[in-house]
Amino acid sequence: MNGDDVANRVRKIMVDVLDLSLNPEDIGLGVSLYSPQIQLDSLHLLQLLVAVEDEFGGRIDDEDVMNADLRTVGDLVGLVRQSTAALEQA
Amino acid sequence: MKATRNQYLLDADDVPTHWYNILADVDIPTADVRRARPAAAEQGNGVSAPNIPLSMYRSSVGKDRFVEIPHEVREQYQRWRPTPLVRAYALERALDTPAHIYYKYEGTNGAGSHKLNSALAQVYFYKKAGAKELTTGTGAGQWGTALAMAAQAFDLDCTAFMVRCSFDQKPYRRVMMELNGARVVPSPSPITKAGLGVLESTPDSSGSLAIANAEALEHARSLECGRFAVGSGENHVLLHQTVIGEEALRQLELAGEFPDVVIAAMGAGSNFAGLAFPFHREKLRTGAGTRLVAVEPEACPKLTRGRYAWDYNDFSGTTPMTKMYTLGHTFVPPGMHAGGLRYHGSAPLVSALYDSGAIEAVAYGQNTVFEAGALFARAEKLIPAPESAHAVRAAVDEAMRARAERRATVILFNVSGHGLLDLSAYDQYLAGGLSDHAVPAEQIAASLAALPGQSHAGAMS
Repeated sequence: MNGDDVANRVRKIMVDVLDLSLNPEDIGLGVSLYSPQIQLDSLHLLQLLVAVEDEFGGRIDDEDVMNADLRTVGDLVGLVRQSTAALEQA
Repeated sequence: MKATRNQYLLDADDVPTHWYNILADVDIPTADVRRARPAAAEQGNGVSAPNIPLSMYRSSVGKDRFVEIPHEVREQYQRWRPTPLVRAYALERALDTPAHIYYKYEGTNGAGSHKLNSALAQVYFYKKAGAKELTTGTGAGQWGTALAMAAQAFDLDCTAFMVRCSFDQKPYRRVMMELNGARVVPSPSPITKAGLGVLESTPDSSGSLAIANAEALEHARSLECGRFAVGSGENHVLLHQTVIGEEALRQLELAGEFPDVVIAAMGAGSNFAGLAFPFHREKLRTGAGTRLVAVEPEACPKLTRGRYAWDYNDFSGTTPMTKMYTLGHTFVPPGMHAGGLRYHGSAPLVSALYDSGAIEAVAYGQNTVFEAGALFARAEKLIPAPESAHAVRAAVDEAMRARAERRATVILFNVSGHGLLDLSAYDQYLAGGLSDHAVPAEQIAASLAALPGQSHAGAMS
């Protein structure tokens, strides 16, 4: 799975779960998750991660989530890339 | 003469292997009951990692009917579970009722209440996620005690913000927490902004669980590997408590009975859900007409006098919003003895069931609750916690109704904890010094007016 593919799928999940009035491709990786366009909250973050797990068919490790410093869309994509890579290696 | 069997006991191997997830049987989408704060971004305090471990959250919002209990948690449960189910023959005789009265007793563990069921599970998941310290708000101290014990069992640090009136009334709870390595802070306290804010406006505030939670949340965010754990309300807490009802189902099967009415005290809802949800599943499966009754204090009547609306879980409005029966997150109940029932809101799952008419609610004043608690103590030789005495009161009333109707009603209720650290409250009752605290309508109206975003029900639905 290439990096662009992961980023595109994560952005689409964000639009669906957060009910954003944005096109997935318009969400830049540098955009803050807590910006007025995204307005991520701790609860939404969990909903998002469960949706990501469903989409990618695996489980994201609790400790990876707890240690993550998720500030931008790119950070979230990075966490998913890290988790999917671990799944593929398993 | 054959002895009358009054206890229905299971073996350690019979401790449930799974928790029951009611979301498999009722249609309550997560997005319909939990919602991010609308002002999160504007206030600039977005968080960069979730508070709840993902694996714990996942199981509490999924649709799997049964969620496997981790081996490490079940092993801890087996140190005192299964808890007994008791046929209350002596109480039946005292009431001269044809009703068959059963109670599940959750006070047999070191913490003395059902709270340890979720505390152990939560600490396990938080530790697995890498947390080093847990913070919490605690009302009467049962949850704080349970979390302190569980944290020590899994080698984590623990700080408990204890509601001021309980901190003063129940010093031995503080000792129990400290004995188990926890730091205990009376709330409101000057060590957090949330606490300071309350102290500035109300220096003699008796506190509330909403304030204590706000302080605990703020403190957790100030720690590097700290997380805020809650003892009731959240889906995962209700899930963990279903071991109570699952055991009770098997025990009543041994007795050859199924209850006509299931009763439990209602704080935020984990005690009630823990006993009632598995019976709700069986009701749906068999079509039984069992009534499920939540019992709350007149001093904090969120189901019977609150509003089904979006509200915050904490006083400062930091948490995501919950669709729940609430008296408003700024509601500060009077300083009554059942501190565990002083929370302003109800669990979203319990609220949704109440809104749909699947469960009932009743509220009682403090004196009539202690009267029932004392009656139960004399008959059954077990002193119930003031919270549990609410369930006793409702059970006694059901038994008296059965007598009037000459029906052998089967009544099941939960004694969620013992009252051995509440003897000063019983002492006050015996001396005739207890007050009833019915809340003035104006107080409820004022706190409901402070609901987020609107002042009428359903505006954000």
